[in-house]
Amino acid sequence: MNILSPTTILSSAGNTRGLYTLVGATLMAASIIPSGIERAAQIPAHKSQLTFGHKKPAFTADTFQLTKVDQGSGNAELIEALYSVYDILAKRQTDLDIETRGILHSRLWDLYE
Amino acid sequence: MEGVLFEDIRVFLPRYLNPEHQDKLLEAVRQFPNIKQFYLLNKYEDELLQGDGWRGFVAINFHNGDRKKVSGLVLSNSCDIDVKNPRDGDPNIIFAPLIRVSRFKQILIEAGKSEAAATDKIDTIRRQCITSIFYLPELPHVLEESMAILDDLHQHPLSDFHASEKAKLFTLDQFAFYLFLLKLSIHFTRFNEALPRYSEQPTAVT
Repeated sequence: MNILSPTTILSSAGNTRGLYTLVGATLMAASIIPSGIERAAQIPAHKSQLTFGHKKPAFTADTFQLTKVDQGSGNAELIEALYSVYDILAKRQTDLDIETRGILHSRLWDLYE
Repeated sequence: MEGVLFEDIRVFLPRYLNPEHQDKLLEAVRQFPNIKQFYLLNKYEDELLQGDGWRGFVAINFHNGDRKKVSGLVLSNSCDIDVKNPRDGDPNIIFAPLIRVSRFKQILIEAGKSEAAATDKIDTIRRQCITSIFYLPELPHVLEESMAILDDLHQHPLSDFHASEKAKLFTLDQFAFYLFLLKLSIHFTRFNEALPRYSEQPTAVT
């Protein structure tokens, strides 16, 4: 599955599966950007493991060799949990209202410390 | 169908996590927006990583050239600012200065906002619902409840930063780091808005 193709992303807004796919794409983006720093144990110096550019990396399930957890009855709960993160962080994002933004930005230098 | 969706999502969880850490991440995802552990303690204390908080950055005021030593949140990706990676030239560390939430609330009230209105704004920030703000809960004895403004970014040359007096404030825990990256992704890319960039409708392919 080529999850990062523009077609996949652009078509993701119109259906439930697409939204879940979008969650996956976001998580994938998050997981590849730091090039694999695992934040629960010491690891060797991190170096880029992926080739960015015009050639798309060929990610597949086999590439990741994931351990399956929460199969069966736990799936719905997990999907719901993952979706809620996307739901809050993307769908519910709002900008600061103009007045508050004006107050904040007019005092930014004073707020640095 | 549900199983397929599950596998779709599982594919995008990081492979570098072992099963135990994957379970911890999934547990943290389930508990969102309640996060038990936001900061990683006693790990990576000397490493400069994306999402770190450090004291010792220098912010420069664009309008008058003033300089100020500040605390900041690192936006640069870890590899680009790792001194172990050979490179030509001296990269910059991109950072967002940290602002104490209590000081922000104070200026809102000074500007005429009611206590209730100011509290309401702060609560929205705490829920990570403001696109341009990443909220950082208190880290006792280290960091007061703070926030970073994602459209107020500065840069500090890596070599100068390493040569300067500095101190690490915190490293984000795995799920907090995920949240940070998700917010960066949403703030800077907005790929979920699905804006087609064609001058005209594409011709149907037969």
